[in-house]
Amino acid sequence: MIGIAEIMEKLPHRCPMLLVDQLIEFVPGEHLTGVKAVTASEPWFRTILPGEPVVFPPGLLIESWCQAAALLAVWDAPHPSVLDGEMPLLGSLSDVTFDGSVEPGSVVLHHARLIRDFGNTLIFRGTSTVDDRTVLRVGRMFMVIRPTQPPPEDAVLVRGGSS
Amino acid sequence: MTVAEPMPVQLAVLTENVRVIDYESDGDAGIRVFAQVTVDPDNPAFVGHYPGLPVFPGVCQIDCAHRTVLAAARIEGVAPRLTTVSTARFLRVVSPCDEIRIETVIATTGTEWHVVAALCGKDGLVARVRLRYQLPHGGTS
Repeated sequence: MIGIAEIMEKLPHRCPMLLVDQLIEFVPGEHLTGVKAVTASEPWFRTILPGEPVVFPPGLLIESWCQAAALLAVWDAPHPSVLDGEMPLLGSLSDVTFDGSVEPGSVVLHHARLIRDFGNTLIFRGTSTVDDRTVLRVGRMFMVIRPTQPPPEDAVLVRGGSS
Repeated sequence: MTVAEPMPVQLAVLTENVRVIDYESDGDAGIRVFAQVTVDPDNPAFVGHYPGLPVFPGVCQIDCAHRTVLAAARIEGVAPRLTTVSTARFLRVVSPCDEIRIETVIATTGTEWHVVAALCGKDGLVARVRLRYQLPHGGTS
């Protein structure tokens, strides 16, 4: 099992946008199974309005899956900070289907497989499951590793950020 | 139909207040919705995406399109369920305080909504998104 400390050494994402907690299966360059435990204390649940469903936002489910997949890309060339000169970015998605909702208390397993590796562009596909129920299918995800520019001096300061 | 005043959509969990600025419904031909969003630098996503160099996540851009569709759904009196992101392509990095214009075309089939959304910033297209929604039994109201 690979825990959060090691994941933070590989990915630049940080709380609350670090959305993968563990890896329970990892075959470098091939495939992995990541874990995301969804809790009601996450900031996305603060603004739920009366009558709205209390579900993990579908967009974040995709983001969480993508972060798990990204670990296959950055494992041998980690990017713990985008200020180091490069950052992983979502290039495109296709054929992503939502097969079920994810509620607080759910433990999501992300199954990701690396299909092609062109160096700074990588292609993945996979699924996410909760209790053996498929909740997300990702037909194809392109991830790109882009060089970063340091923020300009007059850049907007972000609460909690270090810029 | 044209909405004269910007109409705030309920605060999204991920994105900002998406403001509908124009809306046209042409029966079976479909729906066109134009909306705007100003990317809030206090969006909680920026704290962790990424520290020191905030980037509006691609999935938040999808969420902007999704919220625009939900605004149209409220006007139409239906509750479509997002089933598929057919494609989403991200062409430019979006940063805090950026203004994004969302041009959305919804084709209605009776049981589904097929959505094409173009998100444009000051320098041009930032993302193009195709979404698919299922309508509750009975289709449009």
